[in-house]
Amino acid sequence: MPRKSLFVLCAGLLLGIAPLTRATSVNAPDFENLVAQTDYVVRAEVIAVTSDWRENSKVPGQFYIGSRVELRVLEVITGNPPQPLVLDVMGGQVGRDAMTVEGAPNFRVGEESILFVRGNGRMIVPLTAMMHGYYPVRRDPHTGENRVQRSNGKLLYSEHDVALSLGATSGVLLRNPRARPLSAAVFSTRIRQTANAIAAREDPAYLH
Amino acid sequence: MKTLPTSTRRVRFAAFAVSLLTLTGGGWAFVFILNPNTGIPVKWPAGSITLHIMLGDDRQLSDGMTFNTSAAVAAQAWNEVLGAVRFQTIFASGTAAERNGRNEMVFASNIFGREFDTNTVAVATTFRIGNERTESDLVFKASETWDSYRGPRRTGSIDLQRVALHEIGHLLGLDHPDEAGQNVAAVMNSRIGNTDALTPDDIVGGQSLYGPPGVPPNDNFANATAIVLQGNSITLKGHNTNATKEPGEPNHGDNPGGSSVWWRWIAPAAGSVTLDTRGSYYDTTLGVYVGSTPAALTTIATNDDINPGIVQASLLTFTAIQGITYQIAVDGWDRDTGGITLNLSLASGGPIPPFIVSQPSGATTTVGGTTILTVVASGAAPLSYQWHFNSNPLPGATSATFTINNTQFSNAGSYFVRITNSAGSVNSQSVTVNVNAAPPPPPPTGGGGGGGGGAPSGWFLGALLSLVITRVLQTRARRA
Repeated sequence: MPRKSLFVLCAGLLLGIAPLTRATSVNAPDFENLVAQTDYVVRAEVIAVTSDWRENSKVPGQFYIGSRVELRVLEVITGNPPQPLVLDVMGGQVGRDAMTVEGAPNFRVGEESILFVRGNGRMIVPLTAMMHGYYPVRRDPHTGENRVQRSNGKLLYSEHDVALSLGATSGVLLRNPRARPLSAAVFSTRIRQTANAIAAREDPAYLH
Repeated sequence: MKTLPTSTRRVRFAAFAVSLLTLTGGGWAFVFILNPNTGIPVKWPAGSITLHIMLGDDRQLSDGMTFNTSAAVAAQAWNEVLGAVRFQTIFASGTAAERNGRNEMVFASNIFGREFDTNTVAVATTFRIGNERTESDLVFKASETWDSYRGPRRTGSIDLQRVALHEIGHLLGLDHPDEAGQNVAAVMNSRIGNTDALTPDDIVGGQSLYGPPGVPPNDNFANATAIVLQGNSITLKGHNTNATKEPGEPNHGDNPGGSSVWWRWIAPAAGSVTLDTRGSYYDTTLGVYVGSTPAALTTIATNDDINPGIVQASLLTFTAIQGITYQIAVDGWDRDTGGITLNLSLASGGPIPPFIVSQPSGATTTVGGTTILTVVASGAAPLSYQWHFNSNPLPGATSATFTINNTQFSNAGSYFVRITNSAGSVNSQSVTVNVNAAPPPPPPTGGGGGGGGGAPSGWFLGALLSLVITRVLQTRARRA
């Protein structure tokens, strides 16, 4: 087969499968949008979770289970979080009754994470893009280094991977199987740099 | 911090951040939403699930449906593949009232007064008690552009039917396979794509929780499935959806249950047996018995939970006697049903000697035909085979199947096979191979004056020769 024909065939095949591989309306925000949409970003440890029955503020007589997630802020990465920081989330367990918002992160006492907080007390789950605003931090048992995970436990190799489906493999890892995941310190630095860049663009005194 | 303008984005809902369970074997990728306290999927009790569809029927969509009918089609698609539950759809109107004991599908701008995230287009909320769902609501973000169509996903509008298929999957207890690291085509993947109907992975996932339509083949004691160990252990799959309890059948694990299925196992060796239902998708009970009818069983061991109320798989041990047939029942606590994983292992203090699963059968073959003798055996690997003919080992006949091509009269006789492994040997039953003469050729056909007779046969010439020789000898004897 002539090389040109082969190229056309391959291109056709790629175009044919492209909708399957890219067609989606379930995009996580890219890193810049994740930072931009967020009220504040913290690295924090869960110190208590308490759940109770609550009444819908807009429809009296309608009850649901909500939880207060008390956090010890280890690092303010961007913004001005209140002190103390208590996340107000829908869902939880009261006695034998439990309510879940499918897909919402499950906060456990003692766990450390980097949280992109948005609309606390106002949103269903006060994290930007729900699970895409939740990054557990775990210590590597060998090096003792903090490593950042995605909400499903996958290690985060690049801040740009936040835009990937949770099931996708990092491009960094595909290119270099021995790549090291992001540490909490590096991830925090990149969040700050991005927030600063966004703020600079929005500063009326900024000269383009 | 100022929000940048964003394109429409969608965040789908995975589990309640509990550990995800993947089904092993079969290459399936589906995952379940689990009760974090018990590790068991949170699902509906068997029966009808009433779904109040409140999406509206006042607008004709691209495929000619309304929002209500499009969602009802999605519910029906699940109905067609599930055994233990069935959606009953009711078109309703009015304002959704959550936590009202009704399962509702609605458009809304908030949930319990809380706003949707910019990136979220639908949310599933679930109330449960223990492992049991009591109410689920599917809330579609009102401000999105919704439509109903088949085929590839379109830009600018979201197909409500495929989202409803997905959300109903969550309502049933399924989670996102792709977010658990699986790569499979599925409506239950976390992203809306071109898949607009249930895929095999979705269906098997749903059936692992609720079984397929119909009754399991081993529902009745008499139809128990035979277990044959693979080495010293085996893992079996099944389900008890729509299974029943027979008259006189005992309670398994101190609970009446009511949806039992049966396995039957002949112990190939004496030893300690461990039997458990780890990996099952519901709260199982388990019993082991001896006896020939469900109303006249002697209990060997039963169990409800490994850790009562916490680890709701069942586990028991007993000492097996070689050659005894054990009847094994798996039921559900309070008639709970779902996919079963049954694990059986035998610790016999050493490798299990060979035992015969299926004896060879005798054969009658025509001269020149092919004779095949087969045995099915198990035991500690490796097994070796030696076929015997009239008590003598046959060179080269050392596999489970022995074939005689071009069978002759000399092959007629008695055969058995000896199976040997490191733990011992066992002989099969003896079987007889009969060899018949080839049938005479068919008479010639067609008109005419009959046949010519043909050449005399060998045996005729032999008999004639014998007669001549006898006569000659007799004559000589008289002369002498």
